[in-house]
Amino acid sequence: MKKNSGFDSTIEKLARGTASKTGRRSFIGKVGGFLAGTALLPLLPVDRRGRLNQAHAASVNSMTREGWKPQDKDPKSCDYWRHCAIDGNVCDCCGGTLTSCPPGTTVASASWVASCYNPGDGMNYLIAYRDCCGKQTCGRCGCVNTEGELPVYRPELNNDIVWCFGAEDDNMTYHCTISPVVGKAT
Amino acid sequence: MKRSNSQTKTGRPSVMRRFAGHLAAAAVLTAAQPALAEMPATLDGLATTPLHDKVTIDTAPPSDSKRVYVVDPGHFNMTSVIFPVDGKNNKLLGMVDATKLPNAMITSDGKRMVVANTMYSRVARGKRDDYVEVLDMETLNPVADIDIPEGRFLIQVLDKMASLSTDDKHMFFYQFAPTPGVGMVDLQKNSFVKMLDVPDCYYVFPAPKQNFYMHCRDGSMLQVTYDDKGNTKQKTHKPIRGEKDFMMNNPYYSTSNNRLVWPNYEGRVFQAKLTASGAEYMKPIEIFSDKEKAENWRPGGWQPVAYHKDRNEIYLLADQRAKWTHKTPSRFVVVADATTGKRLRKIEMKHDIDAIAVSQDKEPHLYALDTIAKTMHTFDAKTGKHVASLDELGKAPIMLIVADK
Repeated sequence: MKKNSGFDSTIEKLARGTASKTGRRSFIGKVGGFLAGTALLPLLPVDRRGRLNQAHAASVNSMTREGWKPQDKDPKSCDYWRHCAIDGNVCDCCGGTLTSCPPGTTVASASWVASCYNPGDGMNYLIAYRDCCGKQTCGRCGCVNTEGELPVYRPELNNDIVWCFGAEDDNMTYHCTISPVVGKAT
Repeated sequence: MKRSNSQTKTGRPSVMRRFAGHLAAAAVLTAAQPALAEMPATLDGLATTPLHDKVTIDTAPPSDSKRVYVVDPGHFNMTSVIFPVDGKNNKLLGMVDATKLPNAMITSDGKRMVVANTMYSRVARGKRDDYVEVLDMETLNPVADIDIPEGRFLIQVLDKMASLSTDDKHMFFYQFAPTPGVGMVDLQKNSFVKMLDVPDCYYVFPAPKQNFYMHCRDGSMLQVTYDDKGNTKQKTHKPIRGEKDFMMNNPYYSTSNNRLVWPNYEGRVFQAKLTASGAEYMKPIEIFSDKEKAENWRPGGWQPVAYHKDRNEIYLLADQRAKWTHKTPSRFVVVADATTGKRLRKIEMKHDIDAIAVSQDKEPHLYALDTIAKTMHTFDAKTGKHVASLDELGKAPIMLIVADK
């Protein structure tokens, strides 16, 4: 599988280089600039991990010790390729879709980004995980996937934070996560 | 001044004094006897019939070295639960209510729990309210409630994202947005002091003489020296790790001896002694042999590392696993000498474990939390023998806190 594409390496180099020289906001800005043409600003950290257990409790095909083995048929399953670094509940199982939040929620205006491999076409895609907020945790289709996921001191690549930043009404309350594509990573 | 005016107007100071006395007595009575829940008027006498048995409310025994607390944030729910457990007798002692993704801390004498909370006025929406609650660990009742700014970092529970100072006089909590900061709370005056500006650094590792350390994005350690008013001096120490060392999210840190034990994703353990005079780094230890590395042994879980101070032993949650599976649970704990890195033993737990902790007494317990099964298993840390299990622990228990002494 093409898990470490040139684009991924570029992202990582950019992240490392700028991270070592700049503050977080400046760093975010640079990454956002790199992704010009997308509506992906600002690139801030996302949450998730703690949902881990709900992830465990209710998950279908969440990541195991054997590692990430994506499929491209069932978006509600944790091993769907877009979910390679999701930690939380798939909104598709909670009244939303892969790209829309369930009714009555609010959506974050910032995303955590990961590069996921699509086995259907053999390409890597940049995924912007966005949290839907303002209601209790959904509880269905909980997934804990950590492909390329980094520690909290690298927040833009960490999936443990409640990333409802920018959601209406200051709703820093996690409900579920959508996985829209930003674009091809290769 | 007011009393003088009243006397002039009424001309009856003694009556007023008596009236005030009655008011004060009523207030004291009210305080001594809190309002009771309303009794339904339609109940007949049967419901309130005097009992033959004596009904009481228990208190928990004083904390000892085997006390352990199980933190259950319940899938990022709006409410959380913290279970105090008598580890010696494998007995649940009660329950502490908390809110969304709380930070729970235990004072050095084990008598108080300090919990940083976030609530919303309408379940998951409405007005946000952050506060700190101090609880007595025998009655499990709150003894102080302190308002703080609504900026607490909401992240899956981490042991040192909020901390008590080494003298228990202050509490510090991390703020992520809109800018990095550390909130300072005075636990003697029960009041918020101020937000301390810090650079792009995380965690709060307390050190003696009004110091704490943070870990920064570039791997450096930031030393923050503070006074009672929240004025700080900050000093950056060299990186403790390499740029490509991705560290597990939940390091071990002892507030009593200031020892930091922190594994990366591959099982290399970085250690430091963080004191008022500076940060002393130790030579990193490779927990796994080359053969084990070839067999894909790596750490994994949410709280993967513990340390026994007197025995100088590192306990690491580990298993054979693919790269990037650092949060999936493990079935083994490997124990190593913290100075030499020499392997001392490997404990097979026969459960998928997400979090571990070790009591600090001479006959230590290894506590191991299986999140999916909602069960805490207890092992003899020296022999690896299974001692006990405690099940039905909430919805998604994910972190353990043990007495530091």
